[in-house]
Amino acid sequence: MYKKNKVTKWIVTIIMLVIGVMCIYPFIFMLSSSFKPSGDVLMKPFELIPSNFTLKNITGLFNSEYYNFPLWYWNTILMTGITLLLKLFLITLTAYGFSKIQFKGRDAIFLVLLAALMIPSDIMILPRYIIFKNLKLLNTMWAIIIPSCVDVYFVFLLRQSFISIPDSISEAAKIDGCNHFKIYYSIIVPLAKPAIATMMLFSFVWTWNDYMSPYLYISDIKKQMLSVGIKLFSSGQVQDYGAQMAAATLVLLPIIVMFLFCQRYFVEGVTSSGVKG
Amino acid sequence: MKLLNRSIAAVMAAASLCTMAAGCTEKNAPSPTAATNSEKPYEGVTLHYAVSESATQGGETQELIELVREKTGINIEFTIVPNTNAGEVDKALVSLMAGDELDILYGTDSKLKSYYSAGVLTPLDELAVNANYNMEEKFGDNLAIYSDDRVYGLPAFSDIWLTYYNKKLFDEAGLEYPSADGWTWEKYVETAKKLTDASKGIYGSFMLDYDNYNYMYAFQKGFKAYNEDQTKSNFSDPLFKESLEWFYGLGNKDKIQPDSITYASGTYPWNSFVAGGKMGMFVCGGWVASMLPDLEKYPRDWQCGILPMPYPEGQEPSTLAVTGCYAVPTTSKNKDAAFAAIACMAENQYTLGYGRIPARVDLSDEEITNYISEKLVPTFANDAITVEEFKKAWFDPDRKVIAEKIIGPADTTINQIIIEEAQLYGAGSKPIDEAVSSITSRADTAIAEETK
Amino acid sequence: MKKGSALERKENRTGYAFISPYVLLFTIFTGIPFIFSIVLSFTDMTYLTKMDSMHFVGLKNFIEMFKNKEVMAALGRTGLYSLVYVPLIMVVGFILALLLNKGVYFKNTIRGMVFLPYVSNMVAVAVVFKLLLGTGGPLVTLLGALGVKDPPLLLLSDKFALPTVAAIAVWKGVGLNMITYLGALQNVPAELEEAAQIDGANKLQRIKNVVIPMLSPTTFFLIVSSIITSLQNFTVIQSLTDGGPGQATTVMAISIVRSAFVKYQTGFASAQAMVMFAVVMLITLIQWRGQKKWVNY
Repeated sequence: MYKKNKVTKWIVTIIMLVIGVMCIYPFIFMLSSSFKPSGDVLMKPFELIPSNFTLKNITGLFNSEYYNFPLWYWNTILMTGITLLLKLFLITLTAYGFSKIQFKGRDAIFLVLLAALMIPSDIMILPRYIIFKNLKLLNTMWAIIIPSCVDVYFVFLLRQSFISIPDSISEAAKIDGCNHFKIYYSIIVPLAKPAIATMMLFSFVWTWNDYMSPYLYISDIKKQMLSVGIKLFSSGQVQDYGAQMAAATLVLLPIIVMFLFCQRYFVEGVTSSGVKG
Repeated sequence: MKLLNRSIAAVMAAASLCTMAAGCTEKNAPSPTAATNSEKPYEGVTLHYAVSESATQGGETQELIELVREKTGINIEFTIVPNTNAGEVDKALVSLMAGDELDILYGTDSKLKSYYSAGVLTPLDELAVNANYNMEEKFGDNLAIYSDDRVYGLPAFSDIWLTYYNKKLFDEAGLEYPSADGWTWEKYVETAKKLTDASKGIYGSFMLDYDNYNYMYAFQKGFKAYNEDQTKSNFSDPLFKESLEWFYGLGNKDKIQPDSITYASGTYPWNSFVAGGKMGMFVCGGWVASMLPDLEKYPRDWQCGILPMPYPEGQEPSTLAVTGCYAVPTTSKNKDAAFAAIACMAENQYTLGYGRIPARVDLSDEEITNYISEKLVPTFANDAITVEEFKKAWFDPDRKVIAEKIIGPADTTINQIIIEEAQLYGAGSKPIDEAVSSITSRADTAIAEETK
Repeated sequence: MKKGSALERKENRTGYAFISPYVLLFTIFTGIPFIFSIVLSFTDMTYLTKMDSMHFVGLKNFIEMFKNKEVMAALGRTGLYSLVYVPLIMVVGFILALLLNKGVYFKNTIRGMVFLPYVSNMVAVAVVFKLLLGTGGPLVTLLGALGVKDPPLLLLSDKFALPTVAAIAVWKGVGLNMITYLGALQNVPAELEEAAQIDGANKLQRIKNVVIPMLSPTTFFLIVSSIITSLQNFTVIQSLTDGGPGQATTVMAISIVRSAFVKYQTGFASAQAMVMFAVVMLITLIQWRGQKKWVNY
């Protein structure tokens, strides 16, 4: 029985590895293109190891006369960091309200919020721009942070996750005299760590890669974000594929670090009772 | 109608109220220095120039604002606006519509048209009168003039189409380099056939999938995309059908260039001419030349020659072109200074020597020759292009210049329609007559929609 | 009775306190723009600067939209796209999560690999897929070798382009579904699974009777969100096919963007967006009603 399990597990592993390789192909393309002169990037046949190997694409990012790549990196780290912190607090609090407190009109309000997910965002660009202008938020990172904090998506995700935590746990705490806030931070949030990790990971990815908001709302090049910044580098009159791929690779690195960091929450949930499947 | 406007205004006002907006207290533009210098009336004024990233990358734009500072005393600060990708809202337009202050704007004449339609451009006629400046004399037909017959942009340079050719492939095929005189499409096709060598993957000709490749041949034969009063399209003109058949025939029948399916599947990317070294000749805009001196990004071991754009036999020599213009948005607080700045930019940008072709009509032959030998020849030293070749390709006063794209009511939509339908014809999934009639009817609908 | 209502009132107050910061921000930054767009959909607005000459046109935008063959075709294509995308991403995401939860060796590495498309640069993805599926590409060569006559160029064929684009979108987006399920799987109490094991249930039965019901709140979330994601497919389609060949992949997202930012028919674009919104909202409401039947809270 044990042996048979092991064989199946190996077979599945091999199949999954093949699928995995199919998944990373564009990544390999990107990585390899980062070290090619632009003209070679689209050449056929595809060269895995560049024959005209060059570091110019990468050094070019750091030695530009006009642009400050490290500054953009820092801006983006700061902006993403603040967004994640605010979101961690705001979204979990809201999701708790919508799942664990019985108040009047709860589901109706939630449905209205949910509706916002379904609005094609392009048509809100103009009104939002005017609101930011009136609030004097244009050209500040808050124009990116705030809309990303009112993201309904993760309120929904966390609401679903909080709901599936049995009420019996919080009821017991209530009898012990805990108020909602205490139950929220000492019971529900710790129990929902995997879902919160999911939210943090994808919030990070979305905020880090968000192109539209900084493109529209930030004009000062010194306050610009990485996503727009790399476009400034790579699309001159003639699209510069090498620089584009190099920049994309450097942008991706923190995401991979974040992924590795979040990984452990997907194996350390409440199941960690040492039972083998 | 008023009611609705008011209700929208109310919603927006509510937005501002809710958000407790403080009143805008924007600083006025600095006033010119007290002692007005007659030479430099705008000394010390600072203007904001919405510039795209590609413009800031080279030294050209930097040098240009230095030049403006030197000649007029005006300081120019950049507001960098990334180029708009397909399907993105144009940020500069949004920002201008929302009333953000900007003084100088750059765009091709067709691009500036959308700003004109949005009503965010200042007509330059009065500003020119104030400044006692004769725009007509300097720029002639190159001025950007729209449907109300006023001038909205001063042209700084023209992007004139060329034939680029790979000298090494000509040598290998044992062919002589073609001559600029009488360089017709017929000769082009004939030469391309000789260059094509399928066994080595060599194509004699290369073209892209832009909208205008579909109708350039018709344009050169005198085709007009609209009827007289621009109320209907004119694609039922046999010239248009001929143009489609001719263009797709190059790949499908003559096989002198990748057919449209092969092109669409990404096998030969747009930069194949400079990158792969397997394309004999390439007909495209003058901007391609900017890739030639950059051997670091586009390494190659062959020289590139240039010729004018081919034209249909029996027609007068012609070429496609588009101009790059400077304009003054309505949100500028110092329009006279902005006009002085753009006039200076438009007149002098080409002298900086970045391979630009001046859009001025007042230059003497001598001035042009000097410009070519002092600026252009050194830039393209690696390809050893001669003064004579530049003159023939870019400065031929007898060559008819045709706007590279359809310009008129619903033009962007019509170009999109042409791409969609012609693609189907090119791929063999729609007969030519069906494609043409569906272009005609869809274009007519689009025109009706826009002019309504 | 009185005490109960006092408690209720307190519960209400606490509830509002928990959600009010969020709802306030939401109203300003999403609510107001949304109301503005609704109003616009009943106007002939073009440019923001031309508000003075704007007219209230009643239902004209909507009537025109339903009369417009191209927009209706785009709406149909959007439906087809969703029909391919949603079931595929749900099933694949679930299976991947199950297998990668405990079923493989090197699971962290493989999870990372499957997640990678989600964050890969779309330009790189488009280039790679065009080459893989294009003339002389590996797929065509393979099909040819297997004896398929005239193997189709998936992205360039009138018939296959739409499902192909949807499948590529699944490939790129499935990381999110997988990770979300993985997160939820950690909350399936081991005791429950163990209990089922002791009862002699085999693996498939355990999945069916224990895992799927336990995951149902997450599944509900993913279905709703995948439907919504399936409509926000602009970037994928733009970079892979640009709406072509012909109009084979011109879906509503593309149609709206072209109306809004190419033709500057802001009013008409808003009307299209409103119709999309109404359709999705309706679907979501039906699911919301239906969830009591299968979602296990």
